[in-house]
Amino acid sequence: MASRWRWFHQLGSPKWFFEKSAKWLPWIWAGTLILLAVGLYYSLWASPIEARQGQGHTVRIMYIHVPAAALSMIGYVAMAIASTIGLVWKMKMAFAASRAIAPIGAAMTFIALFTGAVWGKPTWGTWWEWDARLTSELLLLFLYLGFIALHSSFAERAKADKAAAVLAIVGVINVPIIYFSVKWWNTLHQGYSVTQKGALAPEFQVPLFTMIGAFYLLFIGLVIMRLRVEILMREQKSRWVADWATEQKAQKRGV
Amino acid sequence: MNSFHELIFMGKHGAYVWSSYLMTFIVLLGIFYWFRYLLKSLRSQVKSELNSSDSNTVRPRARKLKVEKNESRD
Repeated sequence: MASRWRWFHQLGSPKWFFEKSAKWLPWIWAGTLILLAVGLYYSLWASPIEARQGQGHTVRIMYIHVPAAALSMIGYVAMAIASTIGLVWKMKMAFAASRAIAPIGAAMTFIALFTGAVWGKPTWGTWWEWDARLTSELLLLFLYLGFIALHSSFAERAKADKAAAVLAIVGVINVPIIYFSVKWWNTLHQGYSVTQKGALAPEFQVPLFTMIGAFYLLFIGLVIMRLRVEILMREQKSRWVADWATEQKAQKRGV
Repeated sequence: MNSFHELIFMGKHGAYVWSSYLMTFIVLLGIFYWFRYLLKSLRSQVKSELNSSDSNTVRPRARKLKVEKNESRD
């Protein structure tokens, strides 16, 4: 039982995570690049155009819009879970993780909103509509930005962690609203197409799921990168950080 | 997709498709380089702090010998 939870306890150690993540990153980037290359080939070249609804080539926007929108919600849920762990178990790394997810989640939300607006113009005839899905997604972007702003406004890091964690936990209520908005309200946005069986033709599934895989790996890689920065910011005075910096210096000199 | 021309213009929707992909590319690459820059600047900050602390370290000096002037020598 103890060995089953060992990885969780190891994740709580900034030093352990910082050292291990340096070895994980090249593999994550390699996987991301391979999936991106295959995904972009299918999504921009090999996949067919949409003929049934007359969307034509604009269906290609789906291959970046859907992964970004999914990650915007998953990122916020992950941030709320990390914040809860931080508040309940006083785990330093959990607060650092929630701070690391925020800018990437905000970027994914922005991409989802931007590509959605660009896709909406030729499909719906409008860039923006104040319907439930679009408005709640915009609210998600403000929640991410609010989290970052609130965290930055405190001089003391412990207070910033706690205040931002409360916002992350309260704001998570918006995620099911985004997801179920197309079911609960009559929205301009289309209903479930990825999670509902048979809603998406098989020829669109290959590029979409390849791009979803690429975006997920990219998201994980970026979060790890930002988390490494966050760890350095928090552990600047630690002996192991000094050792790491001198080790880097020695490696550059070829010692 | 049948031709390079079709890839560029995508029917009449080239501007919509390419602007979406371009914006995504710019945002994600921008984030990647921003994080890399942060990591590098933190590393150099730690290094410079280490260097300055090395140079400011107070080393024990040899105690000065007290030389008593013997005025009655002459």
